[in-house]
Amino acid sequence: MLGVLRRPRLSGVDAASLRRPLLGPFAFGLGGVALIGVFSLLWGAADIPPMTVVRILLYHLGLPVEVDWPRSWDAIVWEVRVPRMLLAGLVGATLAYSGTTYQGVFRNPLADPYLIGVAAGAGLGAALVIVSPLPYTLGPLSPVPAAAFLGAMTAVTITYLLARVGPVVPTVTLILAGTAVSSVGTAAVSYLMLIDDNRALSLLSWLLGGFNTASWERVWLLVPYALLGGLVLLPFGRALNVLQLSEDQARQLGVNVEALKVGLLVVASLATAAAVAVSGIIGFVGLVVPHIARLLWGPDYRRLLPMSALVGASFMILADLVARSIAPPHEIPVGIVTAFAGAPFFLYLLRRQRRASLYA
Amino acid sequence: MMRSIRQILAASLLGLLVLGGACDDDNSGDTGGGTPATPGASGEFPVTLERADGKDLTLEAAPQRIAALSPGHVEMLFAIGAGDQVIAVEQNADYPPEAAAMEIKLSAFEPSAEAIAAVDPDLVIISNDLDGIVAALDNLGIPVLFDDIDTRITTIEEVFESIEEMGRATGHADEAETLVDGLQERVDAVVEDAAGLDGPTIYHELDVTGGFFSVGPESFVGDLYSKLNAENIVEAGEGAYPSLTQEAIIDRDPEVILLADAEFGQTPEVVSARPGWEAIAAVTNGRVYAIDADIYSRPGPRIVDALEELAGLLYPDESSWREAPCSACFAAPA
Repeated sequence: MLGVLRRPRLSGVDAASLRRPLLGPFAFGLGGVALIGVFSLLWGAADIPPMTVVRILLYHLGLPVEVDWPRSWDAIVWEVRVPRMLLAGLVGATLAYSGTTYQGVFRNPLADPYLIGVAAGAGLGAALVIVSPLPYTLGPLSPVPAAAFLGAMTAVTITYLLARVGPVVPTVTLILAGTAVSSVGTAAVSYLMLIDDNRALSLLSWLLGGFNTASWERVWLLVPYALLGGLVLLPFGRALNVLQLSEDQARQLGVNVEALKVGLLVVASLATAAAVAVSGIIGFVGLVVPHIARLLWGPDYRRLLPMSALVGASFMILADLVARSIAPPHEIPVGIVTAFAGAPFFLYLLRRQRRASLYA
Repeated sequence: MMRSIRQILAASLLGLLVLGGACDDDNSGDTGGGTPATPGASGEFPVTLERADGKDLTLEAAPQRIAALSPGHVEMLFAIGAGDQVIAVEQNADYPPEAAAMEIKLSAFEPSAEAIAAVDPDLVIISNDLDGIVAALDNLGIPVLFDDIDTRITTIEEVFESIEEMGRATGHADEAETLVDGLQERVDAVVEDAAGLDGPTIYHELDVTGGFFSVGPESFVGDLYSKLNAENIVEAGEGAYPSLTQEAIIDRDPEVILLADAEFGQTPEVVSARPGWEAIAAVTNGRVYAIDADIYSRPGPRIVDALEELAGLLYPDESSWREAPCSACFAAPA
């Protein structure tokens, strides 16, 4: 089938590197994320001296620091920049590990976490709330993220039910059903936009995605899904490696391929739905970050899953830093930054490495 | 949803400017549709008008079947007594009530040349050339007056110029001139009163679903604030309808916040409770106000009502301002 990632021969990965502890690159990546996270807090549309930012952070972490900054700076650092950075990091990590999982399950390098309808479903859910006479804000919680989440899960469920052939779910039918469900969802969103053009801007800007409306509340909404998804998927690196053989071979090795595929997709979709619900549809990250990780650390999924999560977090935090501070007081959609910055970097890695074995 | 950038931009702009919903007051002010229409409009014909795309449009006689594809133009036409010549309106045109009650509604957002041709208009007035609709109508031989009031204009006076243009196009040039003279007088009075005053800094919110959309001084909405001597937190050169980053709003610390998205749930209470916004002077001082987007975001004669209402909101201590026309639409702010 066109575009299907043929099995990357496990022999291409030397046995030693498989046994090598994952701790080294993981610690390196984790340190990188932390550094980039703190670094990103120092910049923004408001001109706050970096030392003051650091002292505001220390103050909120409970250290005895004398408060000598205006109240607005406190709000900007602690209520805007910090939750924004955390949300961007969590969404980046979630999209990246979900993308890695999808690519592994579908054995297709073009798979991204929106492949089987998450984005279209979330968009439709959000659209229904945005065009409905419901107020956007009900109490402290906006109904938009909840509706987007429900929409995403509904779309994925429909895709799954459509793709099921008897007891099995062939990946090809799953991709086709996902494409069909996505098309219907997208068409419905376009139709809603057409009949209620008053809200077209709201809808379009939600669909474009971003972190400008980030808050602690949204961070806490996402944390359980992002962490749970990550922790559940992480131990399945080896299973994903086996899955890269043909499904028959995997079965012969004693893997319950059907249960494994469905389980992995459910978890990855759940986490992606939560990410989309709080940040809209941010493209590119779930598709390309797994490849960046693969080019840097090789095709072993035990390493790929954690490393793409860390790269995804760093990448999204940096992209959001650019989105919110490159042209103050303007905000540019973060999806534009991820595509602009990510694609050339990805191409550079691809050309430099020329590790054909990864994709052969 | 993967529309071309051009469409997205156009759609965004359109969405910005026709943020709709009805304000159910029956107070027509002194600019609305109360003026009785003068059937059989006179005026000088043939008349040649310049379109926004640089082409000329010549009308041989006063049009009697007008399709008006922008809510602002609809308000203008009814205000100058050309309402009887209008046969179809944009679907968001909800004012005056005669326009809202019209049976034939057309979409300016997804304009359909076929739907427009089907009502057999002898003049189409359009503010936004989406999907190449102007060329499509030209090809059908339907006279189109493309008057780009949505994206081009930057001052209230340009709204008035557009009203006068509508007057020339419909044979109501005299009524248009009278209307504009009255409106200009009211504007001048407000500007004069505000001249010596030290205006507050303001933040005007259009929409907040995906970003903090506001207005800059180079927009006709922003011109309201310039005329009132208020200082917009969006500075000149920062765009007409910019999407602001949240921390810039907190950092620039507006003294008054005006919410054109209040009817979509962003009420003063909700906005005051946004995390981090408690540091903003407007929130601390309870000066967050809901305003009616239909009046404030629409380039039409009622923009002067908006100006007068705004004067009262920005300068509560100056009692000389006229009582605001639509303030009853929303609960009085705290």
